[in-house]
Amino acid sequence: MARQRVHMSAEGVAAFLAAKRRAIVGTRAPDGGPDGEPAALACAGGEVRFSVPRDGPTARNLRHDPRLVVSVEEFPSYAGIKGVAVHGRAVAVGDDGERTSFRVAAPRIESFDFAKMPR
Amino acid sequence: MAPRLETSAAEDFLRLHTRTFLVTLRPDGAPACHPMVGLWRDGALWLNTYRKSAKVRNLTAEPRVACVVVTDDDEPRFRGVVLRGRAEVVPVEAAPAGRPAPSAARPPGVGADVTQRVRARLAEGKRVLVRIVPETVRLVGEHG
Repeated sequence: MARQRVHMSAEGVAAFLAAKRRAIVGTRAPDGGPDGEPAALACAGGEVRFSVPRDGPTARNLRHDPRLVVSVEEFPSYAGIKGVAVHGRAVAVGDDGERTSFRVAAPRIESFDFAKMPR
Repeated sequence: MAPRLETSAAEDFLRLHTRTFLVTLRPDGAPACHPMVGLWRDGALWLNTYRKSAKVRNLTAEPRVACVVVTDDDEPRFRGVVLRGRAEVVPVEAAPAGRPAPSAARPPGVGADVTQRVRARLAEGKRVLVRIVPETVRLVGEHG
């Protein structure tokens, strides 16, 4: 896909992420293969933050390899598909005993908005 | 052969939900995530995408993948299934026989025009089928 033609503006990405409460976080497990898990998302002030169960696979994987991708998408219709992927490194910022919170350091953003696709 | 799923709940869920996030590894080992439509047939999850896409490049070099299949974000009981296994690119003719090919099924919000275009791209080889046979399966979220 000619991604540069269908990407969102920086403001569009920020607004899209700020409105979302769920994301899928992709990580690499200690066995070397990829893994994934839904996470609770909270983005504000240009920072991407999420939380996952502290004893779950994502928190475990990120202790082993902090590289991650945070993926958010919506699919109300084919022409309405939008998505953002935030690549970066996880930094733990909190732990309430049940869940661990992370922020994404050195974020690199990819986005797509099918409404911008030439037809 | 695909292993039996640990729980029938996972298989029941996969039959009814197509919203799939495919996690691959890039050449540098960092994860990438691709929102897709996944169809559960014959003990495997089937995807279709462009042959020249980054995801096909990634999974050809490193076939280990994870798939997170979930409900819509605003579903009151948000839940899903995480599969880990190996992906392979397979010829269109290898689609499960005797029932609709994965390319023939249409997820919500996708018009017949899109489905027809996808089938044409598969037939001409621009799109390919990807089959993922799970090695591990786990439930996530609020399953009954």
